[in-house]
Amino acid sequence: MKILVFNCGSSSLKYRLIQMPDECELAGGEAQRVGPPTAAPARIYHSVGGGEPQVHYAEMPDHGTAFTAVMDLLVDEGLTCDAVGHRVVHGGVLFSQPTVIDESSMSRLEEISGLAPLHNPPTLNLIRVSRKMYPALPQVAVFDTAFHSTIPEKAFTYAIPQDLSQKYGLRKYGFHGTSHEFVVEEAARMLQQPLEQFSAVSCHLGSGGASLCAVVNGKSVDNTMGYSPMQGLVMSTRCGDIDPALTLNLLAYTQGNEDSVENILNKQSGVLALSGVSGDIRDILTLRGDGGRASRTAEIYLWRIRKYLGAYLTVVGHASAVIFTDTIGENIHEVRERVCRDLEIFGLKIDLEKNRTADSFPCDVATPDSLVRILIIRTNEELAIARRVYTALVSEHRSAAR
Amino acid sequence: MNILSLSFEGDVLKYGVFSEGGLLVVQQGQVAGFRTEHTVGRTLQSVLVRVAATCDENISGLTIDAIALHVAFGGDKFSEPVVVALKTVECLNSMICEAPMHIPPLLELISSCFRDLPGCPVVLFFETSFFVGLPECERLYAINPDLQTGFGLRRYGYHGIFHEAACASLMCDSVRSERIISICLEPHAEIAAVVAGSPVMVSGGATPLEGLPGDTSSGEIDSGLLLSLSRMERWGPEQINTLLTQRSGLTGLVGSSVTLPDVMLSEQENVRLAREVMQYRILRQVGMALAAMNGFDRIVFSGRYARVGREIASWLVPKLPFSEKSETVLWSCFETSLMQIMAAQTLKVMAAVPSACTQEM
Repeated sequence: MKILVFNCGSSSLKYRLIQMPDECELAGGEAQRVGPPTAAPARIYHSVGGGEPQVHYAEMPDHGTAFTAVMDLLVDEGLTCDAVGHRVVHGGVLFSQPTVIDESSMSRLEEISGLAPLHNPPTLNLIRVSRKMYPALPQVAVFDTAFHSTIPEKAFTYAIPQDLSQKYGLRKYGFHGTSHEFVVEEAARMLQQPLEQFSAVSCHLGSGGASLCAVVNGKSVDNTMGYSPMQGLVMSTRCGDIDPALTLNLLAYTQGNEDSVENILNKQSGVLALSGVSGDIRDILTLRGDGGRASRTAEIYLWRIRKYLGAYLTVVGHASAVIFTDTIGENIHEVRERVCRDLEIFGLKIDLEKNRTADSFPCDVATPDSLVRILIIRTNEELAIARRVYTALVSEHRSAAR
Repeated sequence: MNILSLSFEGDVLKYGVFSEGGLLVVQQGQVAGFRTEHTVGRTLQSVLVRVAATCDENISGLTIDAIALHVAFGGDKFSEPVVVALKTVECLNSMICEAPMHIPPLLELISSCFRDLPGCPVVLFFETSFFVGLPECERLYAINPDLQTGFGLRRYGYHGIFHEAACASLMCDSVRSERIISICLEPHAEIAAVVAGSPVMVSGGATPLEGLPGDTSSGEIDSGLLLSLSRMERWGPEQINTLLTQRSGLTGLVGSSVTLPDVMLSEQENVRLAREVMQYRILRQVGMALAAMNGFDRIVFSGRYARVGREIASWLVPKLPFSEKSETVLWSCFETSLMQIMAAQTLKVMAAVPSACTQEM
């Protein structure tokens, strides 16, 4: 079965065509600068069979047109697919499993679209176009929040009146679930431990969003993101944890303009606000001579990760591993070093040399006597989605045959 | 030497008279209604009448030698207790917009003290002083420092008086107490990590709302959730603030008015969720404290519900990673009241400051 997976970013569209169950990538790429025109033209980096990516230019004012442009490239190569998988950031309480999209699930998806205003609407736009153009193709939505549906009540509950929580679904959902789930499964395999007995803390440190996940017996038990992706770590342009009174005061100062406050906390905060120059922690770590503002920014960013790492290692109890993944987690050794050092209390010892020179993944950069392994694992959300889509369709096929 | 300790709490002025360096409790009580029924000045007069009436019966000729006032918020300007002088009042005046609920009644109380007990030195104790020097990585939020929010954009911590006294009480022990997890069990519970007497991490924030759930306050909450509430219920910031400070926390989870001991010391099913949420949040904050100090030597519980610490220690301590050490020396409860801590400290503060400055008023 050839599964075409789409992963919608706010201004990008990643895709991979994967042959399942052998997990062989037939084609893949990324459409960039999707949306309103920017300084550079919209383009697609497209590669076939793992070859060098070729650049193709196309008008892509929204994710629906980006989808059409990608399909054109695939058709030109003579490539077809048997099913489509979509990454959906927020499934709310309605979706805790991969879901085959039909009219009823589509209208439920529309219902919760406001829960992730940056991501869910472009994804829905893409799904609509794709269903219209290929009505016969099965399409499956895979939710970032699904892996976190096992977070226990004590951890997902906010201490507010419960009638209000129930009325509006006000609870921790957690995000980056597809990525956390993927690296946790890989880590258990790598350490030859059964997943159902594997406990760890997974650090998904992206160049934009970032979250930590506490994992007990292969299941998510906590995530630093909450009801929305704004809570938790200091991110590129998101604030992470702040005092609720600060949010309320911002609301008062903007005369109750929620969009404006959301814009401040989502797009103008985090590393960008602290450094004043860049939202990319890689820029900040190499920046010198700005009166110490960059190094202070890095300290704050790293300190928050360390605090949550300590919190989750305590919650998990006996973790087998701390896992680093995504752009920053995989590539920036300084972040891993400064997060892991001086945490011997948790049995964590990083091998500085191994960590600095790590370049082939997956790998273990803990010292031999460290009680907890420190793993770097390349995340592959598209492959994780393809696996879920495959399982969902095969089981649907089986139950239909019965 | 007799010391009168005063503290505002909600609509109540609490008082206590202590003698012999704060060790002996002569009298304690409270007078309600300073925000709703009377002025602060009238409330203080009621306190003084009660003190005088009781003292006539028990101790003849009791005089108040110094007054200790509790202050919830001292901003960056007060890093230690002060004996009130003219410049203190000017400084407090300049901070009204940062703490509009706290500072005006405090200023009224100070002038009433000078009017009704002339010549009696007044010492201010700030909950935030202990945290003024909090390291920058813990102190700052990841938002634009130029944002207009009405107050300084930094984390404080709101039980500095308890944390400081509780940690100091461990220093006289022979057991190593370099790194302390200080858990203050008040209606707004708060956890701090303290290294060699200085805090390096605290659960409280720019206001007491952040951090652990309180008896009626929510503790940490997702900003996105607040924006959704604002959109869906069409509530203004004031209404959401009332929800988060008065109807949330353990009370919000249980659905009726409860306190920390009601929840933590009960096996009742109706408080189960509140208890589990509170235990979990404590565990997570303690994990953060462990990371902040790369371990710990002691845990100390303080606050009016300090006794609940025995129950908390029973499940918390076994979950913590620590080297071969006897569990019994790992934790203790510091059960001295806030009023008594202030009274005991007052003498030390006055000894360090020339008394002449009180005459400037």
